[in-house]
Amino acid sequence: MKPIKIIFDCATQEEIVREMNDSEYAQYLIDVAAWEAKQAEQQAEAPTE
Amino acid sequence: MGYSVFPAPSGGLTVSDLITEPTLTLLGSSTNTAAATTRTISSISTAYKKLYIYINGLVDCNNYANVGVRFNSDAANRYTYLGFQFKQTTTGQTRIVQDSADYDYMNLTYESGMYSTGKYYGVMEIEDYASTTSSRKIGRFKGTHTGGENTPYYEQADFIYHQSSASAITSIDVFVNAGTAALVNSTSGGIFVFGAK
Repeated sequence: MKPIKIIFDCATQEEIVREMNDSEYAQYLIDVAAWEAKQAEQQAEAPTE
Repeated sequence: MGYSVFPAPSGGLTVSDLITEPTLTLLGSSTNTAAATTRTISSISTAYKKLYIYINGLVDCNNYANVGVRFNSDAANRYTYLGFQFKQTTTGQTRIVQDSADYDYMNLTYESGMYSTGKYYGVMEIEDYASTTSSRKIGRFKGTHTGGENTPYYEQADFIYHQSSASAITSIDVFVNAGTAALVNSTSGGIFVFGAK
């Protein structure tokens, strides 16, 4: 099961709750990987006590 | 000593223009309490001068998820963010504790106002959002919380951003990108998008 996305459409005032589609899920994986890489980089740069 | 009386100019601003407060219209909101990784406000009207986006109580304090905001689902680095975080210490000093940039989305940490209702909130002001002129500053986000371990305590994150995309902003994604954490609205929390004339 892919992550859930909640969309509110201002034009119709309707809400849609659905799983991410393939392209959204691909971008989600990119964002997670980039964030985890940045966290690892910051931890590597952090001064040791 | 004489003086001249000039006729009132025609057109231009009137007294009413100068004293009338801008009218805010609620365009849409996301207050569903179901857990989600992304919340999107879409099909935003371009008939206003500014957008105000109020974000409050989206993430459980215990999760400390990273939260991002992205316009038009555009992940092509056409938006640049420069952020400053201000922290007031218990002795009343205010200092800059962090800056950030070079993301293709606005990166909001837990200090930036995403967490439990009443203690943390963030307001994003998007100027000239409907313009299709590229390379322009489009607004700022201010997030604040009070309380915490060392009360009295105050923090503010201030992001200034601009876009090089020649598209009006009609869609806003708020999302988490840290593991399994999800956006969950606290009581009365959520995302509220207002248009201002």
